[in-house]
Amino acid sequence: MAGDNCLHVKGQTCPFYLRRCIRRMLKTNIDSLPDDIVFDILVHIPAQDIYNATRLVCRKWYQMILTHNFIHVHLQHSTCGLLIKNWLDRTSHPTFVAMRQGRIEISKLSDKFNHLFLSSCNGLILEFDCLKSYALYIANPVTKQRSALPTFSANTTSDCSAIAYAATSMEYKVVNTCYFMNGNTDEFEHDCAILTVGVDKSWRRVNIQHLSLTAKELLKRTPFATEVHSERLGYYHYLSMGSYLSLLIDCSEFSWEVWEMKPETGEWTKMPKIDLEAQKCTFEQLCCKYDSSSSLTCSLLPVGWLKSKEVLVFNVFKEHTLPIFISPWFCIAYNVRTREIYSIELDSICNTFLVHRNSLVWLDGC
Amino acid sequence: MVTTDEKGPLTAKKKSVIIRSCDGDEFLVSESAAVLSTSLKKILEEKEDRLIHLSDIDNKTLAMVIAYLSTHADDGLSDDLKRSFDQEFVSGKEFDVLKYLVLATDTLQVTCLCYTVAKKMADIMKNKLVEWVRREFDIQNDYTPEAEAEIRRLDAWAWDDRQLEDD
Repeated sequence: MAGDNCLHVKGQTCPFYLRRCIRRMLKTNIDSLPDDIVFDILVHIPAQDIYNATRLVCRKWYQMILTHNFIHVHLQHSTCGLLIKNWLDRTSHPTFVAMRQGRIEISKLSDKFNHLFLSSCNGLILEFDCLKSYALYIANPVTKQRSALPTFSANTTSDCSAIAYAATSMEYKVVNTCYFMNGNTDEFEHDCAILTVGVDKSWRRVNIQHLSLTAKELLKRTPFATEVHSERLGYYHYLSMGSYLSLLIDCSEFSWEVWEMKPETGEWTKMPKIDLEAQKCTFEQLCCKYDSSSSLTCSLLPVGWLKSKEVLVFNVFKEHTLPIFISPWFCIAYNVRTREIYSIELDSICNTFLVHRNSLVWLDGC
Repeated sequence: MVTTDEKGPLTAKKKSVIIRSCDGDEFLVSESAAVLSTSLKKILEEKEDRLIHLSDIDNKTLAMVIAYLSTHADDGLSDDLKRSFDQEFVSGKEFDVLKYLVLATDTLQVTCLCYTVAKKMADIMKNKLVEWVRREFDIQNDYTPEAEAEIRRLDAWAWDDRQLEDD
């Protein structure tokens, strides 16, 4: 095995040495890894761990983690999941469910959230405080930063709002739609306004006079943003995972037609149908397991993809509680490819689901 | 314009190269596997040498990298199999071993493996205490106890009052 004995190979007399000479490799331990490698490793660590531990390792790491470049690259590597919040108990800790390495991971946010969650984008959550004159806030639950937005209007609610990121101007924008009774004319009117976060001091009205009646109807709903939650329009469920939008149309109680939109062209493509009729008993048994008082009948509402085109989460409703949405302490994740069903235990029976990713982003251009 | 080189690319003959680790062990590797490393590819393009001496990679680490390269150069394996090989490859390896691997893959510029190893290291670091990370990365704590306490103290909700109204 001696190095110089390979005489059968021609022209080997000049061994090539790679430029970077890391002599310390010869020792039993490496002193420290180069900064660029440390960067490549740290971008894979979940935001929560970075905030709680990684940034405290040393000053050099702390500085690296604060850079726009790190926050941006880290965001690209972050996993989209579903943030589940109990809307009855306003002091509960929200649950975050995401897929990591093919497994479903469930974690609790460390803080209580008094406000309702409306929308999420790049880790920033748009919150709504219905007790305090319908105030809107933007919060990052990981870095624990929160900022209040200018009040929209004293007499209309602003719960139909969504946050989105405008990549070209690197700004966050909040869109608000509302539908209200005009006191003077006694007619219902639509309204739409937009706010550039950190720039606008007040909301800018969007002219909607030229819109058709059908288009105006859409303004009754929460505006779609880059990471929308389940938007139920009649029998249509718009679900998103990052920049990708899918549509599920009810065929029966337990089957859905699936469409997906190409982000580049806006073109819709039909995907294989999801049919869970055969698994109906499984859901009913689960209902009984979690809540023995529950009736056997239940229904499913698609709320979001845990993994694009692969794992879909359904909220479960006990039939007799409709239209008050009460889920029997669990929701279901269904793998479209392997047809496996997983139940995810919840700590509440009244939940909202929001597509979310944990990040280190804040409103300063990251 | 019309005439083309009839011989075509040099893929017909299966060539191999010898790679020598810093501790003198030699590995016979097919050229198709070696060129998956951007660094080795450059060396092979520049020189006719069939022996490449890597002065900074030990034999154990080099053996692992070569096993990876050979698997990925095997046209007979499907992408799915290669992906599961990757997962298998990093699983169960100790953090220290992964450190040598990530350095070697960075030196040899094997981007995919570097990514997989870095991701695995991040997975191991999850839920670990600051002290554990410092020990594994051989980092001295350069925070004064006061500075560290200050960061921890700031671990509470911060109100950004840029937009706050008068309340």
